Amino acid sequence: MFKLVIAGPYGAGKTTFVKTLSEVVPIETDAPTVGKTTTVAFDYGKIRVNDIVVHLFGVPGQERFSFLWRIVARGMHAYIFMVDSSSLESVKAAVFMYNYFIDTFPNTPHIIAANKQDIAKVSINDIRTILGVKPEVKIAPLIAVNKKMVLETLITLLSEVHRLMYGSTLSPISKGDSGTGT
Amino acid sequence: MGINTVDPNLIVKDIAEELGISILGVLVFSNNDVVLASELPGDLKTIVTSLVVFINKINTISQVKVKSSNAYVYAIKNDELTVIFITEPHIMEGALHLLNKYVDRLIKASRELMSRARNIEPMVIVEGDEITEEDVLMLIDYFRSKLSELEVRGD
Ligand SMILES: Nc1nc2c(ncn2[C@@H]2O[C@H](COP(=O)(O)OP(=O)(O)O)[C@@H](O)[C@H]2O)c(=O)[nH]1
Ligand SMILES: [Mg+2]
Repeated sequence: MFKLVIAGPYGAGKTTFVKTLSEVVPIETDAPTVGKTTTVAFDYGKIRVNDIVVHLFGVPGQERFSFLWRIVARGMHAYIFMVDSSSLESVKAAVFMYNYFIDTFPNTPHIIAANKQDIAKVSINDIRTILGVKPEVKIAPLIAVNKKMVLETLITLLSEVHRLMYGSTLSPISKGDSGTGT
Repeated sequence: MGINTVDPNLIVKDIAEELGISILGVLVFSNNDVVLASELPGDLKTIVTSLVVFINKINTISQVKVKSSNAYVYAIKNDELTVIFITEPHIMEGALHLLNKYVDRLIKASRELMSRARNIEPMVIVEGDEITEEDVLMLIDYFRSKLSELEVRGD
């Protein structure tokens, strides 16, 4: 069982990401309920790959939910931190949540997804500076409605998990350099 | 988001109307996590976050007032909850105490929000278990194969 979290402020593109992914791979969306219905809207999807189950959780980005971030993220193996690159304000709006994740989960593998590249106003290097992303953390360019880019983002994340947990680099993905400094 | 019961922005408005005090922000923290927060200028978030971390490190503190060039921050601690009011820096210190009457309301709203969160907790508590290198490689292969399918189809 693999737990993957998609974090990022409100409007970054988390729901869109999960929706696009569901067009490429079969995703079950019944959240693991405990008999109670809830009005909390977080994105959820379950992907079965042979005998591995991947649980995908989107965490609500509003800061008044920060007490939920820890709950949703508990026990995750990795996370994608998504930012909206289409304006400086939206990138700045991600700083608080990113700091929270870095402080709270310092050892969890993650990448940054610089979303909305189709209408990007802030460069990947500037995102790195504004969020204070360490040089070894990858920033992947993303358009969340683009199926290939969504898959590439997941592959980049999983390669990071592999590199950090088992210490080897895999051959790069076929298209698009999602490494640092692009 | 149905979980939100109290709009902290509304409390800011109430304070302005009832007390004539101009509030830059209201927040409630549970330990170091935000439970309720009104809209807040970005540079104030950093001050507030460090202040809360500080307050939580020192058990004996129940109230703190901190003045900076652009804000007066008033923090009231109630068990693990900390209520924070941020006002203009030139407000009279005595006027800050008028804000105490809003503390109960904020605490109550926060407790309710947190108990609702506890109800959903079992839903998301799925914790990842041990994964092996083979698992990770298999997942990578799987998504790569989906990617090649798209490329073959020319999507
Ligand atoms: N142009 C553009 N818009 C996007 C992209 N990804 C998401 N959006 C739009 O941004 C808005 C917020 O996306 P959403 O997925 O709801 O964000 P969430 O709050 O993180 O779940 C929606 O209107 C999406 O259609 C993208 O890559 N490019
Ligand atoms: Mg969403």
